[in-house]
Amino acid sequence: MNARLLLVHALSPLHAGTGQGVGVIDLPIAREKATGLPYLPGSSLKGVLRDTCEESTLRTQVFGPDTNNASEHAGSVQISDQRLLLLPIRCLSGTFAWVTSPYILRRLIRDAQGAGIDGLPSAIPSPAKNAGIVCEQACQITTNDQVVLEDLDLTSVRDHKADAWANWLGERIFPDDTEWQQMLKERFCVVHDDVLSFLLDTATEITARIKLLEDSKTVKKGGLWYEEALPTETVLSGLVVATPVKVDPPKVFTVISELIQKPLQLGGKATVGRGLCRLQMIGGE
Amino acid sequence: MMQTRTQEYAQKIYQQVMMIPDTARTKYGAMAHKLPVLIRTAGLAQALAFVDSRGTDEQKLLLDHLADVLNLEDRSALLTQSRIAELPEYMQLTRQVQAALVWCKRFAQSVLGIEAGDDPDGGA
Amino acid sequence: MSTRRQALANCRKQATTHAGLWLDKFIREQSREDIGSRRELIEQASSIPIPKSYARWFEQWQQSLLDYGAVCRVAETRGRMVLGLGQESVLETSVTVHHTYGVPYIPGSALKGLAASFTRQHLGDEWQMESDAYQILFGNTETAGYVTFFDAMPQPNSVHLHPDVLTVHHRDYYRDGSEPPADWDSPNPVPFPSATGKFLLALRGPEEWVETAFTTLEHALRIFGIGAKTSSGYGKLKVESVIVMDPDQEKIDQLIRRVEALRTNEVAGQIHTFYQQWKDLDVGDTQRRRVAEAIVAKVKEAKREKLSRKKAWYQEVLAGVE
Repeated sequence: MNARLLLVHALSPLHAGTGQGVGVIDLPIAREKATGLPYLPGSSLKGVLRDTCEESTLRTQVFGPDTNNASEHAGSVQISDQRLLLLPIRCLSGTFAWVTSPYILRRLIRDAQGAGIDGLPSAIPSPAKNAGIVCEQACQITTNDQVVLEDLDLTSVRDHKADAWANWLGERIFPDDTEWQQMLKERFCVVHDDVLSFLLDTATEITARIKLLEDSKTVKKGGLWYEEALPTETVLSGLVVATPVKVDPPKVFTVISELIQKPLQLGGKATVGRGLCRLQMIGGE
Repeated sequence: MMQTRTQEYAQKIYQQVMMIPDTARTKYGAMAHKLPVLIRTAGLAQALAFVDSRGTDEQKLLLDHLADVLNLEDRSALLTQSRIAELPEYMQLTRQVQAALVWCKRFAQSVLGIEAGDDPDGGA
Repeated sequence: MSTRRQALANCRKQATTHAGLWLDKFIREQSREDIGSRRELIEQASSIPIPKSYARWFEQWQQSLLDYGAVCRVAETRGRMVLGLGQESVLETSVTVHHTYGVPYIPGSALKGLAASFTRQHLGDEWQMESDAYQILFGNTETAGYVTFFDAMPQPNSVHLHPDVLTVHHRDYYRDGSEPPADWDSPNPVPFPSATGKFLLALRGPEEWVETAFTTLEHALRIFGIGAKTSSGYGKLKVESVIVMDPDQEKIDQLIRRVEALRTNEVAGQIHTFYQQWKDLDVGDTQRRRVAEAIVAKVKEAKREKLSRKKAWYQEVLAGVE
């Protein structure tokens, strides 16, 4: 299979894509129409990887020609939208929880199959609407059998299925770093799809931006707006697919894996430090 | 279904906003901009309690209007509901209030001519 | 009666509660007269220790910034600092804390705004809004600026939130700083949280522009201050002159200096020990490559290229340069 799974870990808030400003927020992030899940457009990630690739022949072979010559040939790599996998949510214990839902885990299994990756936990925890499923071992986010996320009181349910997922994800998002793997286990929480959707509508990071009149402390007319971002510690996932147009798939993956050795800056609002991310590529063993 | 409901919200809110006296425009309109963000920050229960206990009469009028839109008797019923609702109902109530506030905010802009930040020293 | 949701009425603050969440959603009571609830809330949030997980995160953050090519310098508060006063909040007097870790920090957007405003007001005609220099540094509506201003995150062991009080009684003091406040029991105290600590400033861009931006920030943080209540002395920071180095970088710089210091007649005898050291390095790829390059350069300088190419160790070093 000529595909790999990508994991994108946000070190600073990620203004992923631009959505429609219909609701509370003037500059919202992009969400999938059908599911409401936030995503970073694949084209945007591909653009950053392309710009990071310094060697011009290789750049054209892998990513295709400049937009001016786009018709010549397509690139040898396609990158899918990177969709939400783990959302950090403020918590009454343990500072924050890494939250996900059954729908998201099912989709991850599908993506992983597409990349020829086996060994994912097959059992998906299925929490009730008022519950949060946490790890049996090491959990730090419960008090008195509750997980309080923002102002939502969820009954905590300890389940080894959660441990299996936290282990699998931790080893891949934080390879060779047992302390971070442990941090994920302590904070991992699976909630009902509806609860996750509520959290996505109410608990992402929003920042007030203000334009003041010069030499005064008063706000310009229309100079107050709200921007939305996925908070630090958000994890997204998606696929990289190689098609042998100009170079072979193994070469494509070698190039990508070198480009993601260092952090990359993804999404919008880069000049105020948004979107610094670490990437991991898995599969192909 | 949802479409019908938001249309229903829109109609009701339009009528409410048309009735706002000139003297109340700024405070009411500015709160229509502020409350959605305050609900995100403080949660529904605390945000409503804040306006109710610290707001001016014009700002509290917005709570009465929201209660009316959601077919609750008055703002005190809305406040009580936000405090005692069990989790699934609390989430639903929050969504309904936010959906209604989208229209309040729009009409504050188009009908009342009030933008976000227009009432800098408006308290609450 | 509490204004919290009934289900949360009995929740207590814990040592690992998110400080920002506690401030935003867990006030006990909100009536206008009840200043006690507000003061108590801020005291509780200020007493929450900096999360252990944050210390881990900060280490990774600093390393990632350096790997990404950002230049970092530390800025320490001279007094207290208050950011985000006036954000929508039940406290009316909120504070900016990090969304995920709940620690106070200085947003990149605030730093960029401060630097831009200082530039316009103090750097003369070549630095006005329409000037090339200004637009290169800060950008305009069409193009992004050349310099990235990252959020300034606090060093974990340095940072504190403080319960602070603003008294209407002493309005004069807060306006012009002429008279220190003494009476905390005045009739209208407004409690708010302020912060102290050492914050990691991180800028990225072309070297000379980053330097310009740092100089501007250094002056702006010293003279203007950042955040609210700057006219009463809040928000002033001192920027340390030293640049924060990648610990790897320093180690490697030293090693490279030693390779470079070899005299040509010493190369034959000693270069192999540097190969050994290079082989055993526990650092990132970029730093490894720098050492490999230094070794190759030295071998060439000593005119031993041809000779060395036959040796396995040298082939290994050459591969490390590619």
